Amino acid sequence: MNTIKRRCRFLTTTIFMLTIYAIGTQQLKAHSNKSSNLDEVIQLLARNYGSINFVYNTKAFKEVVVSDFSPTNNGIENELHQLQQLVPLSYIKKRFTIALKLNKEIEQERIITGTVTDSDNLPIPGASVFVQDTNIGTATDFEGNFTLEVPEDARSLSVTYMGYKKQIVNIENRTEIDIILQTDAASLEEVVLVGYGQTSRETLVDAVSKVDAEQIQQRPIADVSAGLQGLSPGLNVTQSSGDPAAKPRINIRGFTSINGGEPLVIIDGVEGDINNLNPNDIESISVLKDAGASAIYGARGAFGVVLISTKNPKTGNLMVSVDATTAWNSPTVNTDFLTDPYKAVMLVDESFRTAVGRSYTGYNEEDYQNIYEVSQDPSLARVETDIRNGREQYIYYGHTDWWNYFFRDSYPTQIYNVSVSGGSDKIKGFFSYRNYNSEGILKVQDDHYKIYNLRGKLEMKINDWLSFTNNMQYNSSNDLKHGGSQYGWGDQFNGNIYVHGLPSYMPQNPDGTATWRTELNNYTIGDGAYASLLYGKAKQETEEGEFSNIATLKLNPVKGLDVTASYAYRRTNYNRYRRSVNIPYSIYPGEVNTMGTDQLTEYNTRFKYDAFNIYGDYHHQIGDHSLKATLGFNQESFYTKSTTASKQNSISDDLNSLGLATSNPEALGSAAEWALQGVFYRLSYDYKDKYLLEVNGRYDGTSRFPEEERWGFFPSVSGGWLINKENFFSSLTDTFNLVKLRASYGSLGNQEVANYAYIPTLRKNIDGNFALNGRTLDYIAAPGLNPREISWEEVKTFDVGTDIALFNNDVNITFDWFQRNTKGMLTQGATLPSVLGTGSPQENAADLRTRGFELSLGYHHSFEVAKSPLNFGIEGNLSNSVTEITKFDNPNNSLLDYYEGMTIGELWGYHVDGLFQTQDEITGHADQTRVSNRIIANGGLQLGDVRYVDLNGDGVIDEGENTLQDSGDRRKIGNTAPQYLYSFRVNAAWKGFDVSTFFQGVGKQDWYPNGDSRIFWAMYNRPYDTFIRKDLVNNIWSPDNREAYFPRLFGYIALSDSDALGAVNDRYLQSVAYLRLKNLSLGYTIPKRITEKFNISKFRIYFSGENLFTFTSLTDYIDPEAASNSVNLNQPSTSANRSTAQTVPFNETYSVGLSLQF
Amino acid sequence: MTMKNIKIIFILLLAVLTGCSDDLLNKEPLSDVTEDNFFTKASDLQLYTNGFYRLLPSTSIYNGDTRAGNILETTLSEEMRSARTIPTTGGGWDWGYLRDINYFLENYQRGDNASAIAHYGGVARFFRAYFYFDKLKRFGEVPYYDYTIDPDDEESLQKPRDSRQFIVEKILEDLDVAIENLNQDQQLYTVTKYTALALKSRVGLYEGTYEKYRNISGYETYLEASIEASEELMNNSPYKVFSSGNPSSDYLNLFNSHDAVGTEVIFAREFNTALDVDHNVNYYTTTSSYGRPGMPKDLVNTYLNADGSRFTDRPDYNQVFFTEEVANRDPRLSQTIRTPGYTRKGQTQELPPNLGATVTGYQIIKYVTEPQYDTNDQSITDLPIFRFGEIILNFAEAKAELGTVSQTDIDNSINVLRNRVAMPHITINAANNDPDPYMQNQYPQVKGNNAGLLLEIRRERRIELYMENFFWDDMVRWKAGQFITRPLRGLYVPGPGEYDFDGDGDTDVVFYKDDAPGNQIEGIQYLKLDSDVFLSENNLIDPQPNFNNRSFNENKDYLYPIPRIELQLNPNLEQNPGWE
Repeated sequence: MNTIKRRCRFLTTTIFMLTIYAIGTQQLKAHSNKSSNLDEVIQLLARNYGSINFVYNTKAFKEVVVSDFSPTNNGIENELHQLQQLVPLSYIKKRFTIALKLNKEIEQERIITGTVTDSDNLPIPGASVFVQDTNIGTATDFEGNFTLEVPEDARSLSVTYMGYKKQIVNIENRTEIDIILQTDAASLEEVVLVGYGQTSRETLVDAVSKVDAEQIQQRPIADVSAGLQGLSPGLNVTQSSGDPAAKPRINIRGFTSINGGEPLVIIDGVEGDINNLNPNDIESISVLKDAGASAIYGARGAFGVVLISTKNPKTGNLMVSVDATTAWNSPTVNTDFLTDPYKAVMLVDESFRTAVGRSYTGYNEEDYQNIYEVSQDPSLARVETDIRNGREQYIYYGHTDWWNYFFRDSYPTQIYNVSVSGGSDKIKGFFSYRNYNSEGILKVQDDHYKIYNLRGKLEMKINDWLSFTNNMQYNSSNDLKHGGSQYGWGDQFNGNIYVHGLPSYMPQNPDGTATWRTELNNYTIGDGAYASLLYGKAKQETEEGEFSNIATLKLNPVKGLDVTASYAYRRTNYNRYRRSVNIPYSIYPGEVNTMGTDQLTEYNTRFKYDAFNIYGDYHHQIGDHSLKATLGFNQESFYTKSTTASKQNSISDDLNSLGLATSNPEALGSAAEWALQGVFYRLSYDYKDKYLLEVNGRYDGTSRFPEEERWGFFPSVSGGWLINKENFFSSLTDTFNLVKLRASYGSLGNQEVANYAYIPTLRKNIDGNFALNGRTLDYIAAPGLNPREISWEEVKTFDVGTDIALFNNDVNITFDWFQRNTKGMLTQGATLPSVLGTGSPQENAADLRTRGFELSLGYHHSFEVAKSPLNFGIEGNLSNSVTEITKFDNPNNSLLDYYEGMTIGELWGYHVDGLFQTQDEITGHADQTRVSNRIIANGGLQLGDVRYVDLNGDGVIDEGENTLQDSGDRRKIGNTAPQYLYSFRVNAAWKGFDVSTFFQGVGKQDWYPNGDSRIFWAMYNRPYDTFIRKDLVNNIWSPDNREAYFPRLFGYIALSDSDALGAVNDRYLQSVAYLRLKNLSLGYTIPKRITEKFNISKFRIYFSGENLFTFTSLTDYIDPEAASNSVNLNQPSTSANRSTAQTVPFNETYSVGLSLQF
Repeated sequence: MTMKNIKIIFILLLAVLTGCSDDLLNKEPLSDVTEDNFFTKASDLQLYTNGFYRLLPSTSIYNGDTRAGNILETTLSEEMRSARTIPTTGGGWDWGYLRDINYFLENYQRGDNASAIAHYGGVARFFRAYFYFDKLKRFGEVPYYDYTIDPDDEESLQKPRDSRQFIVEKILEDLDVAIENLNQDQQLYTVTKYTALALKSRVGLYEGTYEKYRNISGYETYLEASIEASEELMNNSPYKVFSSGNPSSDYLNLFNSHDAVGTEVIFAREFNTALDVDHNVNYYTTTSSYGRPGMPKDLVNTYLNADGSRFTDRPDYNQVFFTEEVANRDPRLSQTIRTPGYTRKGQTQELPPNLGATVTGYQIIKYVTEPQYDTNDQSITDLPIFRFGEIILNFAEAKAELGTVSQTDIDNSINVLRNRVAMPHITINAANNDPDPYMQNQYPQVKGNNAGLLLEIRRERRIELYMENFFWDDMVRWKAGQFITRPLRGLYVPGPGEYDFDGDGDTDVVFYKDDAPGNQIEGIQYLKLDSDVFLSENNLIDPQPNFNNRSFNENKDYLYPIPRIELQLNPNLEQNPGWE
C-alpha cells in the first residue's frame, strides 16, 4: 500500500517540478531574444502564443528590419501594440488567427468584398485571402467576410485556411466574390487527435487514421459504431442483428486475445460508450492502431483506441442547425417463404415420416383434399369445426403467410437533431438535442426504440492563462418489444416463431380467438409465440439513462506549458421489466383457455464511473531541434450494482408492477467494483521537421490483479522520416508532397480478466432447473482454483508504415504492416484429468500472434465543369489480419482446444463428395454411423443420402482421436474469421448537388450453418419449421432430381453434429463473403443567395439509401452479415461456434431528410 | 501575491487533488463470500449442500428404461444397437460434484452448531456415496478420492483405479456415517436417515448380485448390508406401501400424483409449475415426436393373469388380440399402459391407445397427468428416486439370493405389493416347484434351489419398477446382457382390417395394405402395413425391422468407455475391456 502512495507522490511532484522548470526556461528565453527582421519577430510570437495562427506575407516581412523589440509576455494584443510602435503594421484578430500586413502595401486601387464559407455554408473566420502571387492579403472576420483592396492588374485571389483546400478564384470584373472552401481531408497540416494531444498528418509517426465525421452524420443510423463500419482500414465493425437497439461490436486489427480485449473508446478525453453518442455531435474521430499511438493508454490501449472529440462551441452569433430525417426500413432478406399449404404439408409430413415413422399433421385423406383445393384457390381458406376423437374442434384449411401476417414490409424511423452554438471569446456554448425514434418490424403490435441525446458544452476563458470547460451529456433510450410464448417470456426472434406455423394453419379462429394447437396432433403453433404476439401483453421494456459530466480546467501558467486537469463523472441506470402472461387461445369452439406463465421480472443495474486526469504539455524549440513533452496522471474507478426481482400471477395483465403480483417472489443481486491508476508520458522530438522520434509509456496499476502483480510498465517508441524533405529528393518534390516512412514498437498490457479473478470466492448460484421444498434451488459451490500470481497479458506490437501524398495532396496513400504478439494470455493451465473436479487454475501461459496490413488509397480533385468546381473523390480501404496461436499448453494437440499453430477461425470438417446415387455406392461404403446417426438408426442409408468420404481409409467415418495428428476423416475445410475487409467510396459535388456511394465488403469468410438454423435447413432441422425457403424446396434430392443440392428429405438430420447435415462438412459449407452498397446519398443545397432572403444560411435536402444491394453467394433468405455474427473475433470458442443467423432482419433503408442552418 | 505565485499555488492544489487514496486499487468482492466468512451457520451448511441435489437425475427416471429396450422408441438406444463409441471428453466422466462434496467435508466443521454439522455432514456423505455408486455402475472401478485434489498433486491426478471392493466399502462407510448422523424426520425432497438407508439397500443388492453372478467371493457381505438397511426401513420407519384400498387405481395414483405420495416415496425430485421446473412425460407419451415410447410385448407377456396364473402358459399368447390380451391381467398392466376403459386423469372420455404415439401399441400412462400438462416441458409430477416398494423388492431379492429367504420375508415384501393390486400371493414352494419356463428363457443364468422364486422376484421387480430406470442396472448386475438381443415386438395385428382397441364396439384403427380406403371416418387411425407399421413373421408389430439381429458383448458392453482424453492425461488409467 505504501508503494502506491509513494508512486502517487512521485507523480504529482513530477508534474509540479515540470511546471517550475518551464517557468525557469521561459524567463531565460525572453532575455535571449535578438531579432533582426519582422518575420523572425512574428515567428517568436507564434512560438510564445502557441494557440494563435499568424497570417502574413513572409517574403515582405523578411525585408522589414525590426531594431529593438523584446516580447513582454503580457498578451498578444499588447505585444502587437508594441510592435506597431516600431513598424507600420496593422492586424486583424479573429479567434485564433491574426492576419498581419504592412501599411505601406496599401495602394488604393480597387476594393473587393466577399464571404468565405465551407461547403455547409458555415462562415470561415480567419481565412487568408491574398491576391495571388503577391503579399497583398487579409483575413476574414467572424462572419467570414473580407474586404480587400487589390491592384488594378490583379487577376485572381488565393484563399487558404487550415484544413481546407487552397482555392484560386478569378477576379474578372467582379467586386463581390463568395468563396466556398472544400475540406481537405488529406491536408498535411490537418489536425489529428492522438492520446492526450494532437498532431498533424505530416508529423504523425504512428498508425493513426482519421475518420471523416461527416460520413456518419445524416445517415439514418441509431448509433455511431454502426456508421463506422468500413470507414477506417483495420477498424472492424460487426453487427449481429438488424434491431436498431442491438449494439454493433467494434474491433481493431482482428483477433486480440483468447480472453477478449476490445478497443478503448475515449470520448472527449474520457473512457465512454460510443453507442451513447449523438453522431451529429462528433467533431473528429481518430483510430489509434499501433502501440506507438496507444501506449499512452497503457493497460487498456493494447488493442487500439478510438478517440472521439465532440464539437466545440464556436465564437460568433448564435448558429442554429436543424436536421430532420425520415427513413423506411425493410428486410434485406427474402421473406417470400413457401405458403402453398398443400406443398408445405406434403414436405413436412414426408420429412417427419422418414425420421419418426408417422405423419406430422394428423390430417386425414379428406383434409388433404381440402388443403389441396385451398392451395389451388386461396379464397377457400377457412377454419371448420368438426368432431374428431369424440370432440368438436377447429380444423384448419388455411393459406397463411405467417411472416406477412405478423411482420411489416417496412417500418419507419424518424431522427431529429437540433444544435445551437455561439458566444463571445470569453464565454461560449454548444447545445445539441437529438431524438431518434424507430418503430419495430412487428405488425400486430407496436414496438419502438427511442433515443434522446442531450449535450451542453460551455467554454469559459477566465483569464489569459486559465480556461474552464464543462461538457455535460445526458442520453436515454427506451426499447419496447413484444414477445412471449407458452414457455413464458421469449423474444420474438428467439426461435419459437420458427416452429409449427404451417401455411395450412391459421393465426385466428373465426371468433377472433388465437389458435395455438390443433388437436390433430399435439403441437403448438409457434410454441404459443404467435398467440402471445396477438394478445400483446407479454412485453419487455428497457430504459437506459446515462448522465455524464466532464469538467476541465486548462492552464497556461507559462509560455510553452499547458496543463489540463479534468474530472469526469458518469452515472448510468439500466432498467428493464419483462412480462409474460397467461395467453388465451381456443381449440374447441366457444372454449377459451390460457397457456404460459404470468410473471413479471424487473432488472435494475447502476453503474458509477469516476475519472480524474491531469496532464501537462510542454514544448521547446532550439534551432532545428524541437521537443515536446507530455506527462500526466490518470485514475479511474468503476462500480456496478444489479438487482433482479420477480413475482408471479399479477391481478392485471396490463399493469406491470411487482406490487400487483401475488406469488413466488424472488430476488437476486450482485455488485462489483474495480479501479485503475496510471502515470503516462510522451516525448516527441524532431530535427528539421524531417526526422521524428517519439517515446510513449505508461505505468499502470489495476485492482484486478494481486498486489504484487498489479503494476505494469508499458513503453513504446516510434520514429518517422520525411524523405521528401531530403535534398536528394528535391527534384521530385513537385510531385510528392509527402513521403514518410515510419515504424513503431511497443509493449502494452491487457487486463481483460474478471474483477476478482485472483480471490477465491464461493459463488452463490441459482439453478432454475431444480426445485427444492417449493423454491428454486439456490446453492453455494466450492471455489474454483484461483492462482494468486496472475498478471497482465503483454501485447507487443510492431508496425511499419508509410504515408505518401502526391500531386498537391490529390492522391494519398497510407500503408501499414503490423505484427501483434499477445503474450502470457491468461488461460486455463494445461488440461488436467477430470478427477480434479474443476478447471485447472489459470496461468499466463498462452501466446498468439496476429499479422496484418492496412491500405488506404484516396484521390480527390476539383475539376472545373461548366464554370463551377466539381469536387470529386474516391477512396478505398483494404485490410486483413491472420492470427495464429504460438503457445498453448495442449501437448496432445487436441482439437477441442487451442493448439500451437492453430489459425484462429479454422473450421474442421468432413469431406463430402456428393449424394449416394446408386445402391452399389452404399453397399461398399465406409461406416457412416458417426455422421449419419439418425438415418442409420431409422432404416439405414438410402439413395439421396449424403456421402461422406473415408479420407484415412480406415473404413469408418469418424473424428479419430480428435487431435491434430489423428483427426480421423476431418480436415481443415475453411475459416470462419472474416478476411480481406474492404470498402470504397466515390463522391462528387457540383453546384450544390452532392452524391456519394459507399460500398463495404468482406473478401473471404466461411460459415457452416448452425444445426438449429431453421431458415437455412428448414425441414432438415425440424420437420415442422414454419418458414420454408423456396430455394430449398426445388433442391431436394429425389430419383427425379438427382442433381439436387440437398439430400433425401429426412427430418432432424441437421440438428445434431452426429447427423448427416449437422456434421460439419465441405459440401454444405457456405461462403458469407459479400459486397454491399452500404450507403448511397444524394443531396442538394439551395444556393445561399436564395436562402439568405429567408435568413437561412444553409438549406440542404437529401436522399439516402442504406444496404441497397448485396452481392453474395449465400441464399438471399439469410443476410451474410447476420450469418457471420457469431464469429466474435474477441471470443471464438471452437469451430463449432456457428450462428443460426436467426435474428431481426437487417434493413434496407431509404431515407429523406433536410438540414438547415440559420 | 504575484500572478506567478497564484499560478503555482493553483497547480499545487490540482496536484493535491490527485489525492491518491491508499486502497483505491484494493478491491474486495462485494457480492461473493470467501471461505473465511462462510460455513459458520446452519443456513450456510444447508445452502452449500443444496448444490448436491443437482446431481439427481430427472427425465432419465422415466425414459432411462430405453437403454435396455425396456421402453421402445422410434430410435433404438445406442446400447441396444451396439453403437456406443468412445467419446473424446464427457461421457459421464464428470467429477465436479465430488470436488464440491469433498470441499464441504473439509470445511463444514468451522461453526459450533453441532446438530447442523452432524446432519449436513451426513448429507454430504450420502451424496458422496450416491456419486461413487453412479461412477461404479457406469465405469466399474474408478479412482477413489475423499479429499479435494490439489492441481500440483501429480500422484492423485495420475492415480490408477481403485478396486471395486474398496470403492463399495467406502460407499457403505459413508452411508453408515450418514445413517448415524442424518435427521430422522420424514422429508420428501431432502436427504434424511431413511434416504441413506434406502441407498444402502440399493447399493448392497447391486454389488452383492453383481459379484455373485460373476463368481466373486465375498458378495454375501453386501447382500447382508442391503438386508440390514431394508429391514431397518421396513421395521423402524414411517414408510409403507401406499394403498387406499383401490386395487384398480392405487398403483396408477402413486405416480400421477402432482406431489409425490409421502407415505411410500422416500425421496423424490420435485417439480413445480409455479417455479417452471418441469419435465416432459405427458408430451413424451402422448405425441409422436418424442420417440413414441411403448412397452415391449415380452414385458406385457410376463404380467400374470389376475388369478395368479401365467398368461404365457396359453400356447397362443403371441396371437391374442389386444382387448383379450389385456383383459383379466395383473391390474398393474392397466395402470401402466392404456387398456380398454382408460381415461386421462381428470377426464371421463375413454381413450384407445394412440398408435401414432407408441411404436409398440402399448401406450404408457405411468406419471401421465391431466391433458392441461400435455404441451412440451409442462409436466409436473414429482419423480420418485427412492420408494418403499423398491426397498421391499430389494429385501426379497437379497434374501433369496443369499438363500436365507422365508415365506414370512416374502409375505412382508412382495406380497405386500401384490396386496395393493389384489393379486394372489407368491408362495416360495409353488414358485420353486414350478419355475416359469417363459421367465427361465429370459434369465437362463438363474439356477439353484431358489431359481423359481428368483424368477418370480424378477418378474415382480420388472413390473413394479417399470419406467423407474432400474432395468439397465438390473440387467447388468444379473449379468443378463443377452436379454438385450431378444426380438423387439409390439402388439399383435392379425392382418389388414378394422379393429376395435377399446372394446366399445366402434372401430379405432384400420390397418390396410396398398391403397388407403376411401371415405375415411374421422376419429379412426388409418395405418398402412409395411409402411406406417411393420409386422414380424408372426404378425406382431416390429418397431425396429432393421435391427432384428443384434448382439451383446459380455466382455465389453456392461461398462461404458472412459473418454479418450482422460487416458491421454493419465496413462495409469486403463480403458475398460473391449473398448481399447
